[in-house]
Amino acid sequence: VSKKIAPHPNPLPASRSEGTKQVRFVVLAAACMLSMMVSSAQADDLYSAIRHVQPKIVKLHGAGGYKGLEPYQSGFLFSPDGHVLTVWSYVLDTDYVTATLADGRRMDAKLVAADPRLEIAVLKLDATDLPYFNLAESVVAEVGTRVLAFSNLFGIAVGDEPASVLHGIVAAKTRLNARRGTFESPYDGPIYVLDAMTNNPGSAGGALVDDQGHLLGLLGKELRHTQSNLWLNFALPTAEIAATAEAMRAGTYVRRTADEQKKPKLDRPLTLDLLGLVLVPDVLERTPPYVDAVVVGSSAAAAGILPDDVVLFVNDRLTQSCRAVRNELESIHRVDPVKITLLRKQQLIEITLRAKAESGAERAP
Amino acid sequence: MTMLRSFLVSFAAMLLASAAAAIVAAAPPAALNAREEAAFRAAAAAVAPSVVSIETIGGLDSVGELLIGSGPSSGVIVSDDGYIASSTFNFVHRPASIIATLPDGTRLPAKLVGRDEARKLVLLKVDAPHKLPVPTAVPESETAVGQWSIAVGRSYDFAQANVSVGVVSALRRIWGKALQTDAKISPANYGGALADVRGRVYGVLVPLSPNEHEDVSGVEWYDSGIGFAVPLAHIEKILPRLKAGETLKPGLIGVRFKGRNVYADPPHIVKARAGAPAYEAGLRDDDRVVAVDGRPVAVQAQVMEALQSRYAGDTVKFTIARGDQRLDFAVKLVDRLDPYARPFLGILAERSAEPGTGARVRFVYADSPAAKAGVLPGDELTKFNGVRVRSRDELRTAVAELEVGKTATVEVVRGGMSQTFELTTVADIEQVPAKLSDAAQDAIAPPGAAKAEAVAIKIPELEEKAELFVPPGYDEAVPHGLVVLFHPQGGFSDRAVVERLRDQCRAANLLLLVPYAVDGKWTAQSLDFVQKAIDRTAGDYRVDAARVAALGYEEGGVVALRSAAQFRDRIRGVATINTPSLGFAAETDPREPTSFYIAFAGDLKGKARIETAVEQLRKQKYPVVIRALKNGADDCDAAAAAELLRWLDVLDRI
Repeated sequence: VSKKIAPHPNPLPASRSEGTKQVRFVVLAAACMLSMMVSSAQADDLYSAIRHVQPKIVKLHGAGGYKGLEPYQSGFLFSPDGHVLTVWSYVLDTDYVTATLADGRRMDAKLVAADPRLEIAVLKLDATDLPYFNLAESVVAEVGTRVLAFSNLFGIAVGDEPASVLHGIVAAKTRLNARRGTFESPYDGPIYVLDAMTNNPGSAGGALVDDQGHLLGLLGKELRHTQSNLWLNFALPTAEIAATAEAMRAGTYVRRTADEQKKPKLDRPLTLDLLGLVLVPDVLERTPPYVDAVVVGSSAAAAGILPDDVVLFVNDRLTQSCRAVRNELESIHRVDPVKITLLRKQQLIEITLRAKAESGAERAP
Repeated sequence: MTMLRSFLVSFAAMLLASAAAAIVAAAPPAALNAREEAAFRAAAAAVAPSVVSIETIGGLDSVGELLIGSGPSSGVIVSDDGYIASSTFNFVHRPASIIATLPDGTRLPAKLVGRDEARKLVLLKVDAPHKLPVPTAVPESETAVGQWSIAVGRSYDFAQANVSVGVVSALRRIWGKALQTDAKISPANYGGALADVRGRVYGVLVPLSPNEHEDVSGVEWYDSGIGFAVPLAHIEKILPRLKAGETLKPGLIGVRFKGRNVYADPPHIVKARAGAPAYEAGLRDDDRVVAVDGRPVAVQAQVMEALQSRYAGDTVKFTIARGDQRLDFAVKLVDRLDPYARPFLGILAERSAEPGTGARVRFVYADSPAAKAGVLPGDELTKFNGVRVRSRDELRTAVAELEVGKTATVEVVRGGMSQTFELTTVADIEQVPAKLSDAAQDAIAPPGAAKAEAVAIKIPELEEKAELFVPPGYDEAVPHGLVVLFHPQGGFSDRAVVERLRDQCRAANLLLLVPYAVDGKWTAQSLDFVQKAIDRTAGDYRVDAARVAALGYEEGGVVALRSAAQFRDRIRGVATINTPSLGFAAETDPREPTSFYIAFAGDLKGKARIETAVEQLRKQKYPVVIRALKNGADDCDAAAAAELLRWLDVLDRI
């Protein structure tokens, strides 16, 4: 059987006979696309999911266009009246954002609101009766769930060309910023990590759906994982963004600043001095947190910490360097107990200690 | 009655059949998709208990140019008493401490006990609180391209493994060391497991590269549709050695084969180096390898693959055809060979484009083996150790085969009479002769002759540019030396350097190629351009392959060195001016000699680093000329510039 690349079938056949041909065509195209599939009926199912999602995807063009900043991204409709959900980025940083619908209609997109913490934005198109995702009907994916990612990556689709479909699975469910400074993003909530290559220009703002076409989330921006130094393919789960998006649509959204979510800095944090713990001089980017000395009579001494111990965890958070130990202590109040896990001669030793009260200050119960 | 009964029976059968048909029709066709998804999840779940998370404390934050992440990585339990295999990549930053976390959250200090340097694997040991679950290996006989492959790591979350699905893309990749998958393989799962759809393990995920052997090689391919796993069956085989604390290294035998196309040329030994394992075992020049460990081999690549499955210290059986004899030899592999030292006779030969009747001597080094034997300028060398030589290049090749300290016979034609000399080679010398006799020099352009002609070089699709200066004395019949000039990062602050070199090269009848990086910034792509620009020059002009040198100022020297290491078949000399970092990651090779000329200001910052690097180069048996310039100097003075030209002129010394 010779395989030919089938052109994208027109969803609205001109005549009945052409329609019959079209159906056969659809089956063939889908079967070619999903070579792993054995059942054409099943391929048809997946195809129908794709066919239902495509009209809801929007191609966005806006600011950018110079080195490294592509002037386009993706979005999807979440109301019949032209509300588009997308990511907040430099592309929207202009009064002239153009949206191209799946049927090729081009229209101006007006920014309704943007949330700097979630880095999402809602745009409004002047149109009605559009196909859309109902954010209230979203489903939750698990690690291993097969997914399809719809986006205009690399700005490849123009006019009425459909968005590109990538397939993959949910590789992990994690938090974007479970540890300080992990990712360069103000958002620190749950994400889906994908094994589809969505980390490309233009992908951000696209839709992540399951193999039934149910919305799972919004494709995230190009981000680098600062710990593993990897580019990350991820999506924001619908549940994380639905309320904000709906509030924006309803006009009840109150703008927050990115910093609002951050924990306020503690007034009187714990310090190494208060514990009586002296680490080796911090000379490298990642100086291993070896104990250099323990102050006589301090709580560290009372707890049995010894020179040459390595501080592995502070309150169960890994401390890879002297700097990390100091950072962890900064988020602990000085009257609170702290759990420290030490490595001593290949043995883990767990101790809980509390800074000695300063000049008769009250002790926590 | 009977009829009725039979009717009823057949009616019932019909009902059943139609019901069955209905079931078939109603059985949701989408089930396959869902069942596959369920199978992936089940496979990942089956393997996950054996995949642990690994965290490190302390260590470097970058290795070479690669920024090393500090995030958790993965490991696979390979022995229930607490042995965990992982990828070397996860430990390149040499951490002070290692912590392994089991899927149930138990944290255990881990020790690095063994390494496989050929496969980039490490073995860790933890004190297991209980028996740990060991995965089942997929037998090699059941592994086939196209099977589902599920990559399982544990780098995002202790409680939940991260998963990527793909297929087995190829078997026996990278000299038979690994199988290949298109699942997304990256630091997020290096050290983790590649499972089959039944939850057995193909292997442990590692970054590998077919050509490069650094600990971080292959990482540039992360998440790109090509990833590798070292078969678990192989790891099980070497486990006792790793447990015993061994560092397994690739094994070498010390032979060179005839021809360069390892996939087409037969394993015909052109040189079995004395002292190396093959020679010690009894293999000799001109032997042909016909089998390794009983497996027949027809091309060089098969020998290499056979050796890659073994390690230094292993004994390998080589079957050799010598004449019409077949001989077996047991060769014990070693992890390193002494670097090759280039032998030296002490002559410069005339350069001609075509082979003639011999190699005519144009200069004899004082006190050299040739001088001691009585060779004179003007002599024509016609035979070396019984091998007929017709040109400088043939003589160079013949001499390169000999070892330092060996005695050779040389047949010389002088005044129409043939004479034979005996001489003993010495190691290649570093000193540049203080003066080459006029006759020994290339034709010098007459003063006042036309200026060197500048030719602009552009390579389609590359943004860099280059200028080529062609000396007015250029003669298509004569091979010309080529100097490739690398500017400092940011470009030359003063064009005078280019103009001075242009005039000097013109006077010495050398081609001068000056590549310019985009915005003055050297990148990996610039090297691509340099290679193409050299090839373009060599295509358009007659370039003497034995005298192509890269000359770099400051950071340009780093690019010069890198070019020379990368294009070993093109560049024969590297000269650097005020370049503090002198890494040259290549071994000496008889076919591709490299000479160095290192000049730097007496008060240059990083002088100590230069001295260490030079020591390293000399240890590798590279000839290095060191020239100290005046304090604060940013270019060669007149004496050094003249010496540099003589250094260029003697790159083809024999």
